Amino acid sequence: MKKRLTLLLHFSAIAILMFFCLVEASAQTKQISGQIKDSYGGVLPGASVVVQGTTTGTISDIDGKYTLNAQSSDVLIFSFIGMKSQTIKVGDQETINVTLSEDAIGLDEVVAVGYGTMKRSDLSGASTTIKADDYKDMPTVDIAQSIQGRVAGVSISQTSGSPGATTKIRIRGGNSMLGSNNPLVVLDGVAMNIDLNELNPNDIESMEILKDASSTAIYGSRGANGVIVITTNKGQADKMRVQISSNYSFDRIANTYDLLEAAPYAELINAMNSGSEIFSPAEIEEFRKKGGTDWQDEIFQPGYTSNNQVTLSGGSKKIQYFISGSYIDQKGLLVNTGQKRYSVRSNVDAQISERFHSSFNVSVTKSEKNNSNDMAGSKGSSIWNSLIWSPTEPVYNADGTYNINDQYGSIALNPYMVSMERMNDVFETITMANATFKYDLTDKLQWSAILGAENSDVEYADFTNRYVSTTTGSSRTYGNSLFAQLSTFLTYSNTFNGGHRLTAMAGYEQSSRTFKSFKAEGSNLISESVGYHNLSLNQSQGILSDYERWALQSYLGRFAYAYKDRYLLTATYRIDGSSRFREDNKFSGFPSAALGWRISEEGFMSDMSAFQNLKLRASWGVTGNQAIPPYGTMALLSKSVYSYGSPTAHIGYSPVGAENPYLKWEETTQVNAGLDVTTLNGRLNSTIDIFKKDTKGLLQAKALPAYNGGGKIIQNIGEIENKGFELMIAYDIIRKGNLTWNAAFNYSSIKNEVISIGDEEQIFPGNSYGTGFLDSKTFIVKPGESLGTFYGYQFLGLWQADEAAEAALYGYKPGDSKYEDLNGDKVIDGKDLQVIGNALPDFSWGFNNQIRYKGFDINVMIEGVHGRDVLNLGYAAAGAAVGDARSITLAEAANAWTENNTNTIWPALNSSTNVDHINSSKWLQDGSYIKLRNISVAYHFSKDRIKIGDLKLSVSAQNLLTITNYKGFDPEVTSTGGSDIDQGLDLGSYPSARSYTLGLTLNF
Amino acid sequence: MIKKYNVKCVAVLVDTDVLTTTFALVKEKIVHMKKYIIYLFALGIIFSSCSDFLDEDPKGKLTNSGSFKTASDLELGLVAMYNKVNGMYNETNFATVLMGGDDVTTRSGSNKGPFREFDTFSATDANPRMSWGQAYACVWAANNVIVNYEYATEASEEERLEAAGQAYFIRALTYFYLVRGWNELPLVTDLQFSFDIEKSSPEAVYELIVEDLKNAEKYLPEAWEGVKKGVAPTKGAAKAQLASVYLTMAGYPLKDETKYALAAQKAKEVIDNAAVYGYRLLDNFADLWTRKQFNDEIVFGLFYDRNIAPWTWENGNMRAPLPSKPEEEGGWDDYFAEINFFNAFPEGPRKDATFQTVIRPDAETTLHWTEGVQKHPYYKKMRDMDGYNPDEPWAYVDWWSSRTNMVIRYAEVLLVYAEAQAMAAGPDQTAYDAVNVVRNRAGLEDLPDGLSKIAFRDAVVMERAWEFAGAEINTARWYDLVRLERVEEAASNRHESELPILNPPTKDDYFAPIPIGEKLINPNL
Repeated sequence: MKKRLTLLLHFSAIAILMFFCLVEASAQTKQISGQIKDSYGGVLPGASVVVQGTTTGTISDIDGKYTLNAQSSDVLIFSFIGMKSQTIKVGDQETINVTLSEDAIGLDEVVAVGYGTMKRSDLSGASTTIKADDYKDMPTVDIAQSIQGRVAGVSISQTSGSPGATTKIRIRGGNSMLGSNNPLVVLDGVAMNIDLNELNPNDIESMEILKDASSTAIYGSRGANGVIVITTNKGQADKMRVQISSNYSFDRIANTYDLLEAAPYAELINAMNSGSEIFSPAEIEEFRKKGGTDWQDEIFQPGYTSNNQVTLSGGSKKIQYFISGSYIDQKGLLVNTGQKRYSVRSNVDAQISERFHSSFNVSVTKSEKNNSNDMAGSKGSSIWNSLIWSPTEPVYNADGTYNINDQYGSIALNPYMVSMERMNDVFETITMANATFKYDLTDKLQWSAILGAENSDVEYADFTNRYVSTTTGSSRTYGNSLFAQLSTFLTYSNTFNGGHRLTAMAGYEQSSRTFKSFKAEGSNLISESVGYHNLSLNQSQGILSDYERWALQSYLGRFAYAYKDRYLLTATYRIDGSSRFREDNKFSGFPSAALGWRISEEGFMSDMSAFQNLKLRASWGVTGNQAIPPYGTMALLSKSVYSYGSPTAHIGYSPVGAENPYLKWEETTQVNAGLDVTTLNGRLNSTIDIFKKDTKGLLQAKALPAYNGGGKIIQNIGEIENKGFELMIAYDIIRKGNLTWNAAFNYSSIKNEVISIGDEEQIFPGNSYGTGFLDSKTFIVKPGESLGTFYGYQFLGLWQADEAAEAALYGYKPGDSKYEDLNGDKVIDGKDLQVIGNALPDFSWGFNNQIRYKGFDINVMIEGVHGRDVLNLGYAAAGAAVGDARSITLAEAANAWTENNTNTIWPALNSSTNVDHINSSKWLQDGSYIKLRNISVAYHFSKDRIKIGDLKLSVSAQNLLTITNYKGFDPEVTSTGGSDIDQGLDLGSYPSARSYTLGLTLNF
Repeated sequence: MIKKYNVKCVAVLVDTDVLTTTFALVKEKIVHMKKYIIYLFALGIIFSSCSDFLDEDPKGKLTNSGSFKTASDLELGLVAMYNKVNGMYNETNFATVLMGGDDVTTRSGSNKGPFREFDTFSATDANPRMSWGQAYACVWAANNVIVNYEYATEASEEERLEAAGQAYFIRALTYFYLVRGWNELPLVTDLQFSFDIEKSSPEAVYELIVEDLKNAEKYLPEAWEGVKKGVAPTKGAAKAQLASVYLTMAGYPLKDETKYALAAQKAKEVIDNAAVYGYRLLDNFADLWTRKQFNDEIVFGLFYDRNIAPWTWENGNMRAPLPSKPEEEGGWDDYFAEINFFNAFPEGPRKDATFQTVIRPDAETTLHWTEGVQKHPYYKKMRDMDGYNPDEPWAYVDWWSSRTNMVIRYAEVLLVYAEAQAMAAGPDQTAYDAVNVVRNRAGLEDLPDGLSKIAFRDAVVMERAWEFAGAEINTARWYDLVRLERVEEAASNRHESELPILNPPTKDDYFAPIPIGEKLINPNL
């Protein structure tokens, strides 16, 4: 209540302010026009022309031409990415033609930093800008994919190809085992923890990726994972511009497993059963003639992605608008999956008075996802089961009904049936709104306030019929999450005589998120005819509700100082208070400092025109992570339901896990050193960074022994270190009038290491995957190793005939699997488990080529990720008869050991002594890959040729080529979701598509 | 608490030089421009809002502190406990450590490795299908009630003690499972966490079991009303279980033969009051193995309803119908009968109701078990359920049933009495009566008169083997082989076509290894 009152008062105060400040201004204007060219005489489309001190402006058209209204006293600023800006006083002129020359990485460019902006040349931290123009040739519906492979130190992976799946983003590695390692997303000044795929990529103007502590410490307790500052588009003071664009992708599965066909499979089943004629020779002959069922073929389908966008933008000197609408329709690769997404956005900027500027941005996204749960990591996964279902089993019985069970292969239900019959829909409406107010108290002092909110309403509607589960049922869940942020700060900036320039900022912020949900569910449907639309048909019914809230209260400040543009200093401090911790542990402070030296500005360098920019940077800072969920310091009871054998559900509660009221923040200290170089007349830009991140007081959930009821206790124990090297080089290979070729290469290597986990030697805090198939924890956390380390048995091939005596000591026979006996006790058991691999890459790189020739735009984008392992449980399930996979379906694995065929890794069929351990190096594969992310050709038709406006047509392909040794569908996907302890485990993961895309963009 | 944070907020403002500087600048301007006061006003409101903003209230979530007050609170704890017991016995895994019995075996290949390890006496601590964790979850949930029931001051004395009685019974039941499976184990009797507890001796574990069952016997009612009727444990169940525990204590490893008399005495208390408790032998052995939820022979059982919402693992039973159904009929081949055991099994209605001897992969085909893929007879005790048609065994049937798990049957009480009485006092008529009534139902004649104590005991033990064949929960054949130290002998009498035993069993194979996961957490185990 108190909070609400505060907000209300705040709003009233702002309303009053606005009233006072609505001062009208008037002046004489005239139309100015002209053409903008580069120094080689080529026209520059998309260059911006802005009236200085205002947001009035325009963008040049395809022929480099522009028109706008200005007064004689105005000064126009002409700018273009990679070019030096020019300022020209209007005076008497009505035609102003401009030639822009190249600039080193846009040193005068203003970039977004936390709670403000800075000139790029003044930055002393490590951050990278991505602009819409950088990725415009790569069609995507998830903005995260636009960053993929473009920024050193930022790892982006599509962990699932399911439509609407989120993308995993890590900036300089993972620091936390318990908490999220997702970077903080700041959208137009509002720091919300949204998934990037909730945004329409077309609405985004630029993204600033903040990497080092100097850049992120201003976000304090949420800065440890890096920050992505996103600025959405704004309108220009110009006549209305309309852009219509449409992309259509044909999505295909890139790779499938080589599985046994029906006839050889039938023979194998006979062999596995000691030669019994389970399949008669006649049946086998029949299979050979007619073939069997290709389950991969059944469950995968050609998909599509249709992405349609409309934007309107323009405005007057006082009000500018940007309005967009989009409609995205996707059909997934797995049958019966897809999503539809609709979004609208309206960004309005108002210059209320000379001193008072405000903007109001609102967007609404509505999405419908059908069966978006890809079931990865669970044995129910249709994709996984398609690998282990017998090819001898038909999809349908002779009478047209589903063939439900597989007699010899998987113990799960028919994967095609489950995929087709399941009905899990998610309907989500997300509204994001933010209002920004800036008032110039004096020329040097500005007051700003940001009010932001995100409201998300989500409904889960599930229907389970008799084909999906033996217990039918339906349920509906409604959840509402409301995030609200209030920030206010004062910014002082001044330039003093003698080349001193300083900016100081101080502010206050509070934010909170409240989550409420309600669920009604039932089972044992009396009629299955109406899906999830009538829950009362459930003969057994239950209700659930939930509530969760967290809040943060913060004080923050920044001090930036530059002397003669050569010596740069930035210091920040933030104090955060979190509701998640108790008593004295609620508040914590997060400082940072950075120094920069622009050597190129020194007098002794002035003759050495070789360097247009040469800057040395160093920074240090502390950031935090709350890492525990709300109420994480309390011992909550775990709910259970019991029937007493009756149809009534009785509710029970029991303690699971132990509480720890003394928990506090995780703290990450990061040091960074970097060098920016621009040379060869601005054609070569390069940035090198090295960093070390040290996270202490690691929050971790320690498994309690089973005799203590299982469960976990959270503790502040341990330390993780990430250190790395980042390199980015961009080079203009060709820069002629009508031909340009820019190539950008980036490389990063990050070494993650667990330094300590308290007094433990090793812990297993990860999840279990496919229990019943893989029954031990696969990921170990151990000092000296990194996160994502595999723990299992070392597979040594097979016991051979001449080793029979030794094999017998273990209870094995020739032809059985052989594992390393670490302690030599002639038993393969838990004592022989060891580190067998690691899912983190050694290094990764991206190579992006942008070629322009006359009206053509060509883009080639390649990404490489190297030195990582993936535990391929799809391959294991197909290759071994273990747990839920009772037979062998993998073509390779039919090459079983016999006395005459000993050069194989596939054990003798029907051995009573062979043990196939799934947590073994046998199933660990090299997950390195090089992917051709994008290749596209676009052609611009100028307005002269197409009467209605500028037209761009494009043809492109995404993931056209993947070079990898991995034997599964896709080395990039994983069933471990966003976890960092667990990574690179493929249990029925949804593969990414290979897409062929046609695109059309019309501007008028 | 709130005050403290206010102080902190102010301190921040004073500490930060930047803020003071900017404030000073603003102050200067205020003199000239009144409307700035409004900005400051807005700022002031915000800065003063250090209030209860950061307080945490879990609202709908139950926490541990002071959760036991009323009788309903006790019931919450009991429901959670029963839920875990049901979850422990609803799949074949509870019987993994019992696979060494000569009544059951499993197949080669497929996914049966973990069962095979115990069947062929080569178990390792990496075996993933041991029910160690599930068992201790029951113990922990029972401890929760035992530790807290006295705090439920708003419940009546009777309600408190009845709650305690149920928890003592379940804890004893579970430790009895654990001690017979693992012998030495961590003895956890409260809710204290420990990462270094040592293993307790079987003597200590049995001592606790006996004590718990005595408490259960004291506190539990003779019969329940309402939803617990026929479901929750009773005084009779506690006595019956205590009899079984005493009988086991008389054998290996404790070998405390004084316990025979106590076992006989407890069993007799149940037999003498069978009418009071409502226990009797069913007339037909086959009637025990129908889908019917309740029958009078159940002294203690676990009851399921797979249709309960929300769907929960613990409320259905996966032991019927597929684990011991032939793969040719859509089953799982988890376990089936050993051939020598089957051959020695006396003919009669009990044998007919125990085994499946023909396999029907489809309507046209009927195979004798020797013609099946596994060439073994199957157990059909845990088979019948809703939707299962014995005339069409090849037809699809759900793997998820509501079949009752019988834990203690009245037949067990009779046979415990017969054996214990014979060993304590000699095979008198009461002992003969107790075993003969079970034999007669199975279509067998009375045992011959005049058997020696040991011969009579051995006859009763064989009777137990046949009566409870197929690893029944409380009376699995394996337990008898261990307590009578006959594992080696049984293993040597293995049919040649069974899975080969590479290393014959020794005393080391009598008990299961503690799972590796647990040993990694607590190296003292």
